[in-house]
Amino acid sequence: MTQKDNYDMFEMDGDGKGKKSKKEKKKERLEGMKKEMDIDDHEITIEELEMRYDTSIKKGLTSSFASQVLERDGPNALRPPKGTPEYVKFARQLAGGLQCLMWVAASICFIAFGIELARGNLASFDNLYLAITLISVVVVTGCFGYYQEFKSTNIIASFKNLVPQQALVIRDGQKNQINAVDLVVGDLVEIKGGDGVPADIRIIFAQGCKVDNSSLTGESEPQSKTPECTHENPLETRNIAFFSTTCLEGVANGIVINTGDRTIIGRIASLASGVGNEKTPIAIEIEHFVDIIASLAIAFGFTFFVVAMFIGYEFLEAMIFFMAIVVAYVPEGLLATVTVCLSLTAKRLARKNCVVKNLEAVETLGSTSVICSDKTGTLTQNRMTVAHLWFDNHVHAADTTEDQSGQSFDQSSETWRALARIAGLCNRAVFRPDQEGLPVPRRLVVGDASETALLKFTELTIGNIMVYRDRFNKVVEVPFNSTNKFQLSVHELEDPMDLRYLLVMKGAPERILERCSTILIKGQELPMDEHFKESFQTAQMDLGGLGERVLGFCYVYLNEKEFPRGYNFDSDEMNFTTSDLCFAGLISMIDPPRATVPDAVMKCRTAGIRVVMVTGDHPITARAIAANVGIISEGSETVEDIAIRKRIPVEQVNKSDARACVINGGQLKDMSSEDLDEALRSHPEMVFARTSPQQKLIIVESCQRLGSIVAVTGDGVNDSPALKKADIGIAMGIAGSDAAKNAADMILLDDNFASIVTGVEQGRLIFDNLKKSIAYTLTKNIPELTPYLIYITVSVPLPLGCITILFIELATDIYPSVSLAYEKAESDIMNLKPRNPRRDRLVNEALAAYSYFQIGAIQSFAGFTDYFSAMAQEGWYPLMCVGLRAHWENVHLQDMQDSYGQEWTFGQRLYQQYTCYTVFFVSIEICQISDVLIRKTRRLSVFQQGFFRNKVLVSAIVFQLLLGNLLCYCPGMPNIFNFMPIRVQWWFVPVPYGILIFVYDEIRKLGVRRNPGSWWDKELYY
Amino acid sequence: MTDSVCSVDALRNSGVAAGQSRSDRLGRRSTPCIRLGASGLALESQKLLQKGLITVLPPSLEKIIVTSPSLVSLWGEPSPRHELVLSFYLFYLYLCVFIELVLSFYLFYLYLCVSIGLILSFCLVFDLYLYLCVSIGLILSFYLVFYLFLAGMFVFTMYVMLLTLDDFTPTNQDRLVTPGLMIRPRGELLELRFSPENTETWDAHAQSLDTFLEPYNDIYQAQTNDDCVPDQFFVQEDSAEVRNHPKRSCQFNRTVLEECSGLQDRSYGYQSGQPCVLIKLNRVIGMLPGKEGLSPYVTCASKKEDVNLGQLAYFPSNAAFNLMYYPYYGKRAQVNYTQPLVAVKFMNLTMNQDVAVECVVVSNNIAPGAERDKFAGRVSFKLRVSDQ
Repeated sequence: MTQKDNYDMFEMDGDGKGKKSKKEKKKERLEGMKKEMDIDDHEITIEELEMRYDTSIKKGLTSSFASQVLERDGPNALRPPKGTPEYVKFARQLAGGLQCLMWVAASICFIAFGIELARGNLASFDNLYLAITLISVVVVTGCFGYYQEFKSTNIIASFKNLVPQQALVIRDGQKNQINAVDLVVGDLVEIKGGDGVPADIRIIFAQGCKVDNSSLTGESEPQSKTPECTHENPLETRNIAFFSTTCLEGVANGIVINTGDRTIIGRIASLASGVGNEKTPIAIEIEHFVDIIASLAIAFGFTFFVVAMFIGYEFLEAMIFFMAIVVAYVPEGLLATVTVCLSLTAKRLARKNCVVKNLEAVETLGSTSVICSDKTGTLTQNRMTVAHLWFDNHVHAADTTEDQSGQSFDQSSETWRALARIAGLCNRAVFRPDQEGLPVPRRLVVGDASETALLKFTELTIGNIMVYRDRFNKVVEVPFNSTNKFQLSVHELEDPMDLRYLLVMKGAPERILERCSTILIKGQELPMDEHFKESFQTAQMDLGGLGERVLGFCYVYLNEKEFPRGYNFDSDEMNFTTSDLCFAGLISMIDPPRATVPDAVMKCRTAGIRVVMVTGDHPITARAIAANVGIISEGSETVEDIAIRKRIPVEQVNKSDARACVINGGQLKDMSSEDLDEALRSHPEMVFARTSPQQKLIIVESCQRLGSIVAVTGDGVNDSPALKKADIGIAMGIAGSDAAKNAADMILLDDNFASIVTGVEQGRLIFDNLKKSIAYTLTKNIPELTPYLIYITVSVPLPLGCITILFIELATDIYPSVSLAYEKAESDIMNLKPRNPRRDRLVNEALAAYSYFQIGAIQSFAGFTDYFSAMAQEGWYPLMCVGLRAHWENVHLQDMQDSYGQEWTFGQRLYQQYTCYTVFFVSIEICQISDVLIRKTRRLSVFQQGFFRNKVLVSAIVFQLLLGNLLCYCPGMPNIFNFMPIRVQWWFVPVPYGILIFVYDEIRKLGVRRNPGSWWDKELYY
Repeated sequence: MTDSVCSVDALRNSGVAAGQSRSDRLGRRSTPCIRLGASGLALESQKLLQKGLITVLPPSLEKIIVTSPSLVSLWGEPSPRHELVLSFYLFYLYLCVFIELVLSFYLFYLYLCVSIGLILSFCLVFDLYLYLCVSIGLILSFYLVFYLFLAGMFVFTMYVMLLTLDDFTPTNQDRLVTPGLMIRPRGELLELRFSPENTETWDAHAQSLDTFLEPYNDIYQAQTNDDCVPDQFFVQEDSAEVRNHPKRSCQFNRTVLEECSGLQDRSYGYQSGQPCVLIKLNRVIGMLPGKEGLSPYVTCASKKEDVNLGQLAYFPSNAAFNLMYYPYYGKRAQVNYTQPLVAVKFMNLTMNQDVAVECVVVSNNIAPGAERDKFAGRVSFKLRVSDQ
């Protein structure tokens, strides 16, 4: 019942639409969700709030009322996304395009079998076997795909954190520690630094409370929380703390206003589950391909049905022919090939830290043309790091790489020593204990983000900062607050003889500058004149423009006489000098990009993939990072930049001149979807800042409207709807939230954006190789089909039986077709544009025509040559065979004369027919060896690609030959599988055709290479 | 049939007369035409007419192929020499199939394109259609060349393969290790049901036996075949240089079958309820059944132990296929070969009872047939004599 209530809550316009179809309802709900959420709990007064939730800000709820509410609303936990039931997952594996074709074929076989049974002339059970085999192929490959999916689901499940969250709640005026799931609306809860926020909370009291919202909004900076309502948007206001975020420091009290799925995060999560999964490009390709196959099969079947009727077969017989042709046309082995090829790549990707949840996603990455990347945690390291310093009138760049492999700046200046001392001393952050073994950037720190950055920075530059701090005994400290905007501390000097106190201060640069009268330049204290002030301003602007947070640092040695040892410093009164200080420098901090990202973005660009940044962070920071990693390339300007450069109003700038564009959430809100499409079309370099989860979704949709295949990377809950909507969602394995991982199709175990590039490469490779595999697999359909057609029209003894066909499809040819997945790329695929999903099809007309009517035709000629040879050498001349069918298949004719006058019993003829099957089988095998060799490349010569470089392919050929020999010469085969031990010379009859295939394809490739764009290229390059 | 006999015989005779060796055979291709004579020429031209017809109208060819039981009747007995010409036709058929495939594929493609084009605009269709016509024309001519080349290759490989064949003995006889056994009359599905009183029920059997035994008439045998030494193989090996043929055959006189010869009893015993069944051993070239002078013989028995066959009479009385009829040299070398027979007369069959009979050939060197082949070295048939 409670679940239903929850469900109803999401429906924005309540009841009364029960009659509407479920789909419509869902769509409306989704549209409603895409709008910003409306709550006013942050705007009303505390009293109103108390009224609304029947609570008290002193005593909290009564326990009995709380339990009533709990019963009404249900537990405070996110309902796990409605997992697809296992049987549905399995059923889905059985109901793909190819699978459906196979089901139809199987049922046709059953019908044919039924007809034959009903007519009483049951010559063989072949149709039944065929049907059973078809069904088992579907089921076995289904099981395989299901197992793959199951395995990757397990990897994801293992990420789940199973520790139950605790919450400090005040009920009946008493503090209790309870499980967060038992919280109800109206509960009074207390949070402190380090706690997770247990529900959506309206803050009624806060002291220095800062919350990390990055998982929800993507902002890398902690947000301070205060009881005042500062913004009408609940996401922006300061007096609401959200479920699933973490309180970094300070304490706060608040009233729970939403629990469970009704929390902001719950809504986002359900938004994600409401977003339909897009069909993967490979699924679309396979559908397209199935269409081709099915229509060709029906066209062939129908043609020969008509021919058979014309020739004078009975209607039922012609019907069976029709069915048999359709069945013979279904490439039984293709399903297995595609599944195995995709899972091979999935495995290869897993080794490179990309776990693929959905096999088809492997290829999607390859056809991706737009990557919408979240900033925090994906492009950046998600930790504040000192990026620049300004001292001695110069900007110095610090090393921001994760492993400290970058260049450091000149540390010889006296000023630097002073600056470092201030940064080290005027800092409240401390390392958590017992982390000596860890590299500094990885150590955990208690303290806010910028102090953490400074702590780590000083630890790295000065070394052992904790001991250093102990040497300067701290006397008094004034923490940062929003009115002062500075933080200061007073220390004793390490030299016991020097009795002066050292006052160190850091804070907002302007505030610090106001208090300074001198400036330290190269160790010299110089008076602060206009010249220095100006250069200070420039430096501050520059650093701020880089999206960095700038802090000013100053110090002073307190006068020994005024402030002797034991002087009573008072932090509230501030009974000591806080002006006329000496300015030391500026330090700016940023959440720096990961080292590998710029390179990866560059690779994406060369691969024709557009990287769009979509972040919840501020536009300036977003832009700075975008410029830093190359999403906005050097020299690209936004409309605003051009306006400034040309000194003209923004409106007069020609929008198409601006390559880059930064759009923030506010602007996006006012844009129609056409505007957004237009913006995406006209600016190749896009950054979206301050976006809400809904807007991320809108951006993804817009890209998809423009015909792009969109990949979305993200880690936070806020990304999950977009991850789901994207053609391929990529979640971060380490930093990613469960919601993101659930919504994604792929998980980067190392959180490394660069892994995506590997994924793209593998995806493109598998697309090319799948093309080769499919071409290889399709080719043999013709030599499998023509015997039957000739059998019908010319009435020769059947040259190839259906069990033999099954052996070709499902035994001997599977391994070679899979081995093509190991083929190396023919050219640098990362320098090509992503494929156009509308134009570059997996199976195009050229591929079908070339495989079917050229290579397939050669193969069938090979088969018939071998067939007629085998018949003639046993005494049945080719012309004798023509029209022989009726007598040949007469069970009662035991003395049928051959061309030499010998007499054959039916059994002897049947074994001769099996010999023909085997001979035809061998011919197809020999030609397929040649086929697999030519399929290694589509454009290059096989000699350029290297014959033996693909070891798997070589072993596949050996395997194919061995299996062929086993089938032919293993005793007992004639009666079980209709294979006969054939004479050795028949293996060599098709060899000239095999050579022809190879030579012809080399000629084709030569023509394609020599005359790009020519008729030859168009018709013969697939 | 006449034309084939004419041409083939003319060919063979010319070969024999000239005494040419096998390797010269190619050079002799032109000779038979000269020797055909007026009637032969007319027939040949008729053939050509048919050829012409065939090339013009493919369906008619299909008709011919399907309506005739086998092309053999049309073109005479195939020999490797004919194969080259004939394989062209075979190939032509195959080509038709392929062109049909290509056409249907491209017409489908054309249809798709045009229908999309129609939706776009009428104006576009014309251009598109023109473009498609050109492109399809190119494609079709490409495929024509491609398939012609393939055709050439096919014909060439077939020709090479046919060259390896021998006119007189098959290259392999893998399937014919155990010769089959067959009965005459065949009846309907190897079932002989009749009632002695009702003539119509067995008349067909008797007639078929009459026809079957016609070449066995003593007079005819005496004219065409030799009187050989019994109980030893009648071996007629070719010498190294000269092919020894036509090979002679041994006489098998109808009178040997005595009561089942149909000479004394025109009804072969069917009228009296004592039916005769002739048993023959399938011809296999070069087969030597029985060694050490022991001929293979036939024994018949009831398949079910509880059903009594009654007394059986075999003709010849030892129920043997005499060794002098072996080896067989093939219908081309041994034109007048007379297959030896054994007749079984069922002397007192129980009336109105289905009797399943199995006759087996017993020989000291014929391998027992494969388990699955019910007619290798044995034959099963059903008999039923009803009183109605």
